[in-house]
Amino acid sequence: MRSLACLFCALALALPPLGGRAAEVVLVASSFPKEILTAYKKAFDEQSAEYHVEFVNFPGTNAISYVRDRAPGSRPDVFWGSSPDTFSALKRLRLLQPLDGFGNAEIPPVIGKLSIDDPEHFHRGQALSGYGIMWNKRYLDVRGIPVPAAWSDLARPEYFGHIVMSSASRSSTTHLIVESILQGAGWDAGWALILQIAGNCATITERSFDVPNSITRGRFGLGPVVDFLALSGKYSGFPVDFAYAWPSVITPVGIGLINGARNPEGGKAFIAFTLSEAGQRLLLRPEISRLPVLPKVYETADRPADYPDLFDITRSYLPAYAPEVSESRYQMVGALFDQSVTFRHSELVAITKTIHEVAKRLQSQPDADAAALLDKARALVYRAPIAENDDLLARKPLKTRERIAAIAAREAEWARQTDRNLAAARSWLAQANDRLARRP
Amino acid sequence: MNQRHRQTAGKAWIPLAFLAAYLLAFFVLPVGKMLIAGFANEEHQLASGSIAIFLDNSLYIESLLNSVMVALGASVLAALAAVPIAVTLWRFRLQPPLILELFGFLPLFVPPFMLSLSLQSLLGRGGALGMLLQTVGDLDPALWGLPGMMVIEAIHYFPLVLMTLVLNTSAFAQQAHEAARLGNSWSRLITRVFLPLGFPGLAFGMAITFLKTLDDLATPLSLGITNLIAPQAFFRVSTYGSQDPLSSLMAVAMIVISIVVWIVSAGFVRHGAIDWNPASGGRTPAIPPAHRRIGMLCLAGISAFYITCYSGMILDSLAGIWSHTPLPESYVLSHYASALESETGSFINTLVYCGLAAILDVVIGLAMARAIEHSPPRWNKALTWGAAAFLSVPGVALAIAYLQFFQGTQLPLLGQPLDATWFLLPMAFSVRGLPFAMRACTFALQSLPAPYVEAASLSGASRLSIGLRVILPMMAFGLTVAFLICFGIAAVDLSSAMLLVPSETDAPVSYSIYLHMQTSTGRGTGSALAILTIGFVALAMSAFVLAARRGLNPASSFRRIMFPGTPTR
Repeated sequence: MRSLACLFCALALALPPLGGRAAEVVLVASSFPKEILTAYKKAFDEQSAEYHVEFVNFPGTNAISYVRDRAPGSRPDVFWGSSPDTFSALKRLRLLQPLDGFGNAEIPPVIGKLSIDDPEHFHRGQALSGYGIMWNKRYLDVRGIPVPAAWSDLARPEYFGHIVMSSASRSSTTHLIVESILQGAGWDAGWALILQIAGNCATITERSFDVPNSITRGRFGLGPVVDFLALSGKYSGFPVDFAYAWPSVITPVGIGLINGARNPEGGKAFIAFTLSEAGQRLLLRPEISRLPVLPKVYETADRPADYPDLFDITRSYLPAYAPEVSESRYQMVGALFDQSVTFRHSELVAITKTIHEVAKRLQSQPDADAAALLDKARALVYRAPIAENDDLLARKPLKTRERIAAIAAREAEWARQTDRNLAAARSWLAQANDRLARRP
Repeated sequence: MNQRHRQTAGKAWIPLAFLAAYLLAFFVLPVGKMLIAGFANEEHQLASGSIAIFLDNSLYIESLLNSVMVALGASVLAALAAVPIAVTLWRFRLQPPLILELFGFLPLFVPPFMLSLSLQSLLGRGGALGMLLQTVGDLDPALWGLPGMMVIEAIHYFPLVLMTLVLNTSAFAQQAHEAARLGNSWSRLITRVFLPLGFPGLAFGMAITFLKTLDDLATPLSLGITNLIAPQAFFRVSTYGSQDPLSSLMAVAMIVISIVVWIVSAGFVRHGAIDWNPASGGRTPAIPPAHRRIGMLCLAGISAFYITCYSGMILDSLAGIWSHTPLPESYVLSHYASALESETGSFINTLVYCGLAAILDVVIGLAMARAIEHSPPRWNKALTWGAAAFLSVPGVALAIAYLQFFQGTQLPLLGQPLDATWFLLPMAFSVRGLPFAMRACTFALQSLPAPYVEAASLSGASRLSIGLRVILPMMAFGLTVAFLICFGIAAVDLSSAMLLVPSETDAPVSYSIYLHMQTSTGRGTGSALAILTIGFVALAMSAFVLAARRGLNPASSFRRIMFPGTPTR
């Protein structure tokens, strides 16, 4: 049977291949948007006589299996991406080659508190990614909504129904923001904040890019994004703006040579190009708008007047972010997010609305008992789905049927727990409302 | 003669063996393995472990019920809208123009998520009607939840339901008028003639709406709806990988629901005597102009409604800067330029995948049609309906079955895993197109008069020249129709594509549209790509009508092919 399948494949492959690869091709795997890849392809191909570059593009969350599932010698040459967790995993699985005696000496290894390169040189920093909040100026102005400054602002009632974010299991950007809140605020307080923000969201999008897209368009007011997506909209003329939210997370965009590459020399040539002055300067184009790591590029006239400054940004960097911690529980944080936010979003929104309403009534007519009921309801609705020391969060060989079945059993338990919690919280909120209604 | 017969009989096993191998490799074994995966434990013993977990999770039960509810709601809504309009057209004896009739089948060739995204642009807070009607309330379809999805699917499949109704009843509109002139009341005619006549068509249209809605993945995801069974299976496969036993169970549940719905509707379709050829004889009194005007107004109203629905996407494809204003601030054509420039790859992918799938479909369809034709009459019926039941295999379920079955299969020369290549896409597309291919091929076979072949062979022509000079030209029309229908159906099959596409460079154009609709810089390129695609399909349909006008009646053959399970003669 399998051989029959192989026969069909052989037939299919006898047709002209879609991505014809000659010997001098450099194959780069990346999750970046087309604008960036097209610009680099054009510039690199123009300056290199020996090589030309091709890209394989896929969601950042599948990067590791994409590389690992291919036999050495048939893997892509370079991996280029903004998720530090992915680089940490690639390094642990020995899927990267060291880049010793390599790179642009003018790029400092440490900027502010942030180390740009991997200490063992398995990957190099090529740019910086900062995470923050993007908003549509017209949308907020018309509705009189203030511009937020910190992640915790997004939990406030005035943002209810105006935020848009993506799912942590589908978007590596959202995953990084969620993880940095968990690490920055602590597991329990972090989940409380994430659930409150999610309760304020109008919708949870399936793809990360739909967040900046719907803000640019003015469908929704604001949301958490990676800086370059917001800045490229801003410098393309849309009425949007962006701020690095406190506590801000800045991570280096990495580039590394894959162990088992088809064309390692070509891969090195491409990496060297991205680190050169010409490669760094490309980042300042309006449709790209990323932060270069080569300081002298910021002095050039290419940069728009209010372009973020390298040293300002790295000063606010939150040093606690640990990619190893994030990587060890990567899949489970995504699954927890889906179970408690994505799949329960309409219930979460409904109860968040009631919580805001009760809180508002309490402001005009204070009542200690109603306030206690509200606090109880809040604590229950915005509780971490599992404890930080839960067995599920420790790294284990994943994807065996047994383990998946074990997780699925736990998920059923969470679903029941969530239903119970929501029911209890609803009744407390109703009691609080009753108390307030009975008062003169 | 006798010897020749034995020769053909001797060689007949070759296409049959090919057919059996294909069905085994790309349908029976993958789906069978998925069934086992859903119901067995690690040691391949029957176990209720995963079923217990599935039933234990309130989210999954809720998703299953929601899916059935949304699919049922969409088909009932579409029927509720279609019946009065079909009655009006019937009452005034108005036959829609041929081209509008063919456009009734357009929902099968355009993915419904395009409508969802267009309505988001139109009714969302950011522009067009949504801003003007802000005082009425939030009209963004992403905020309506399940009812929103129901309405969108109903709008999308309404033309199909209407057209199946019109086609089933139009033949007797003339007689109804005669009856009305003789003193029968119209309300009596509608309940006694129109409804019984229209019911098989209505049941078919509603069944297709139900099955496609149940299987739809891109529309709920574009609306942010995840508590349906297809998105749940999709999320589980993308989080836990294809070996997840619960996603197999979800796929099995989808197949079971689909089969039940298909059997129920097939009962109705089968019992209706369908005669699509208008009854001849008798005078045809002219339709009074007032009646014609009412009917035309009806059709114009529907057309205007659809243009309005898609205007969000049309505006998006032309908008430069459009942010929180009723209309775009500037208009550009650059989205079309960039769609054509950057997406030639996905157009080529679509041509390759869907072309391969359609060729396979035609070959397999011919083999199946021949097998059915040469089988005893009792088997004939069972085989016809059995093949039509392929319609009820949801794309999501088939994709999950493929991922499980072919996982770990390495390609011999490339050293790449099979599921990392695009190879599984055309295979899945071909299985999904099979019911239509089989009918089209049966049709083509019937257009081949046996005496011609007999005469040619008696005159001493070689088998090759009979094939080239007689058989091929006579069947060319039918086979082209088969190819085009299968191509079109494969081109919009997003439910299996979203799970099987290995990377964005290997994506077919429908998936590229889905991705482009969600880029950071707005929906311009995706909308332009979508409009180019819809334009291409509409153009192909019109060209088909024009080219086939001579001699054959294209609409009637097209109708017959599109209603699987009904007699083709």
